[in-house]
Amino acid sequence: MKDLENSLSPSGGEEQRESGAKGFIVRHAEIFRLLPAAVCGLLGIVLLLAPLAPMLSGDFTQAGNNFTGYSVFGSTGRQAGVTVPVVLIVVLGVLCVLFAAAAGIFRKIRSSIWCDAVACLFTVTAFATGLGQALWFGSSVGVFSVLCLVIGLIAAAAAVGETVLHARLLSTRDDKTEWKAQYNHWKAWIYLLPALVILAIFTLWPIFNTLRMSMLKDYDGLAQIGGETFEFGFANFAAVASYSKFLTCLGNTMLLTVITVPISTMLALLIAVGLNSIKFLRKTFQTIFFLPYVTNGIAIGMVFMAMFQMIGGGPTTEPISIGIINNIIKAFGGKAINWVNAGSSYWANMSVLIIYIVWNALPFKILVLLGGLQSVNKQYYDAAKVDGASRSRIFWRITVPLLSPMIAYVVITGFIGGFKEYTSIVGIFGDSMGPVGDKGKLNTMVGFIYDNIDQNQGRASAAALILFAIIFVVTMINLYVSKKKVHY
Amino acid sequence: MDEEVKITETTETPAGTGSAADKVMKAKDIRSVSKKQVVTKILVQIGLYVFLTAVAIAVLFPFYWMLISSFKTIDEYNATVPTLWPKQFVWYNYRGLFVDILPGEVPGLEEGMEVAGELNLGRLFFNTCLVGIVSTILSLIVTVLSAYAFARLEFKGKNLLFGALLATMMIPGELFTITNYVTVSDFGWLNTFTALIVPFLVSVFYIYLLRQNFLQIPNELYLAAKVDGTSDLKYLWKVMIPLSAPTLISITILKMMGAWNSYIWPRLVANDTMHMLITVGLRGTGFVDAATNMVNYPAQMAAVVLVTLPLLLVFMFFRKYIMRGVSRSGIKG
Repeated sequence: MKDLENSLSPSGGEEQRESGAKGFIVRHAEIFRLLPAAVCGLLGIVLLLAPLAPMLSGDFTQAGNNFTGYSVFGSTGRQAGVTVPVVLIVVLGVLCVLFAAAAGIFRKIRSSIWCDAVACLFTVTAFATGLGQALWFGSSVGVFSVLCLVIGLIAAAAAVGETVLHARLLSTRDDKTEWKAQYNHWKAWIYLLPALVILAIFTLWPIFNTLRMSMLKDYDGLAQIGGETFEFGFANFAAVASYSKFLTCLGNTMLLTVITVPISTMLALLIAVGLNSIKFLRKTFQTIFFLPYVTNGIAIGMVFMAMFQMIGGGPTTEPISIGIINNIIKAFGGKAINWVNAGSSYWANMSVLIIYIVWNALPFKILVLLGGLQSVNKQYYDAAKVDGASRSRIFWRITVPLLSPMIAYVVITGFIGGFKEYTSIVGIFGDSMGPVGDKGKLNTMVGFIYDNIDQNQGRASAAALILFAIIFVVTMINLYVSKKKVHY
Repeated sequence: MDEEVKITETTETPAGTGSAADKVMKAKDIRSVSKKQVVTKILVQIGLYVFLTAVAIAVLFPFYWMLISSFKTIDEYNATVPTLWPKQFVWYNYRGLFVDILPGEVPGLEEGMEVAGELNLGRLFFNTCLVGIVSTILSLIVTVLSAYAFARLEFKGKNLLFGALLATMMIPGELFTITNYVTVSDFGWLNTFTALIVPFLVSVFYIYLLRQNFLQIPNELYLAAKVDGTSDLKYLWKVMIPLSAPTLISITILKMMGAWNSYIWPRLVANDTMHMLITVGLRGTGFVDAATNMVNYPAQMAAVVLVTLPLLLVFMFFRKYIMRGVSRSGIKG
């Protein structure tokens, strides 16, 4: 081993003194080591943009055969095969960008043989994809396919060359420890790889794609396969905003959120304070109040439906049974109400939904608020007792301020959850999102998105982005208010 | 209430001046006040128990109604005045969910009445369990590996990447669903278990939860293990995982519950009977009686009981872990 090193080190010295092209490379080895990473990054960006490019050029007929072709139901012949390379390109693009970011930007210039090998692997795969694409599509190769191929070729050559060079350089030095450190460095990425690949496909790509689809008027994957082109612009947003059904959904969602969040928060606060000031049976009550959380929202929605439902009869005929809730109301001297049947009023439906949503939202809020209460320092209460403060005063002056971070938390999560309300309505009213004969009467924003998901993905994307914007703004307002009111 | 305040306030002010007589007065006052306080305290406690019991009844009533309805005959359920306890306990509502009950086979069941139509509950249970178990195991592996990388291994851009991952938690899931639906169709995964398992394998929240737990384990243990020549994987398996078992159990239960309760995604991507999940099947079945054209609520309630019961059992046994996970997440499943 020692002999080997001795024999190699002088040659290394010779290399340093060597002039010409080889000497230049050796002297500036650090810069050259960055090369594969940089090329990889470029390649990744190109690969990522490739599916977007036909959209920008407006050439959709060809695009359907080349790059994009998000065939939703396409399952015949060549078009079924079209889709796979596109996804592969995106995955590879993401991987390349990740690699480049890791290897080039966030790393020291010194690299190890392993990362070069990985770079080599990535670029070769990218190259192979480009080649495969070119072979697959034959004469209809797009400009970007060729570009990918060329860049992939260059990158692969550069990476291979660099790896060989670097291997020679490494063998001249005794930096085994550094080599090991670099290896550890890369191990982290290997550990992260499965998670990152899945996140890239199912989290990162949707972010880009939703933006893209929302900008194409009435985008539909199936129609695109058929060679249809889509207008680029904000038409989807305009269509969504002026769509009367969407306005109904928006109104329903807003109303449900604005009513249920304060009710459930107040009720949960009262219950939490109550639970905190009793000893006997506290655990039992706590368990009971948590039960709605561990249930299936759809299943229990069906139970609520059954409880409020009138059996038989119609808008004109007398029902066979008016249902358990109406019987209870009657027992207390009230009048039976048509809650959920055909011809029921909007507010009757809403009341059922509000009761169900509050019932469903309580457990989480009680849990958080009770947890907060139990961590409040007892000294505050002792001091208040010494001062003889009344219960209501203790509640408003000590409990609420000290609990305000938790209250802010449940209110914010409540608002976010409220704007995404969907399953509780499906649970009670079913897919029709309304009582019999009144389809879509109680639809929500999320319901609107899912109604459009397989016919008009452009509109669904626009609605999703609007929903995101609303949630974002409301959360920001919540945070702003809580910054002023919350005592940390 | 306000009176108490006044009494104590008036006694408090002279206390500051501090003559002996005042002190005696004050002591007496405090004693009388505390008697009053005892009375109000008892009253308040009674009020609290009444209030909490009322809420508890409101919370429990749907469960109770679901349970007793599932044992009623359809005639009893449809009675003008509902009974709060079944006059006659019948089991065929449950049996009918799994096997076809022939007309006239069971006394009390009218001829030509179907209990649950096309609902194949056994298959739905199997599908849901399969998806739940496989996705939980895979998800645990992926989560443990990434949490370990974020907690123990050093690499450049770690904090940046972690921050970016946390930022994606802000985006509502609906935004992902649209593209994921298209992607999954493109992969040809519609009506497969893969579509139900893979897209939601990685949860940033679980990675975050586990990373925090890993960080609490002292680094000295890691260094000691390194000195002894232990490999990272062995250290992860022998030290990290046993020490963070409670969090892993929380993640397992929440993930399983998520599979059991999921509705939106399974309805989109898996609609055939071979891959349908329990909630989709439950909501999709009308429970409409062919003979009378009326909804068979007792049968529906029996199905709902069977869907709810496993969750309640899991909750009974793992209450601590579920509550721990939930209080941090604010999400269901």
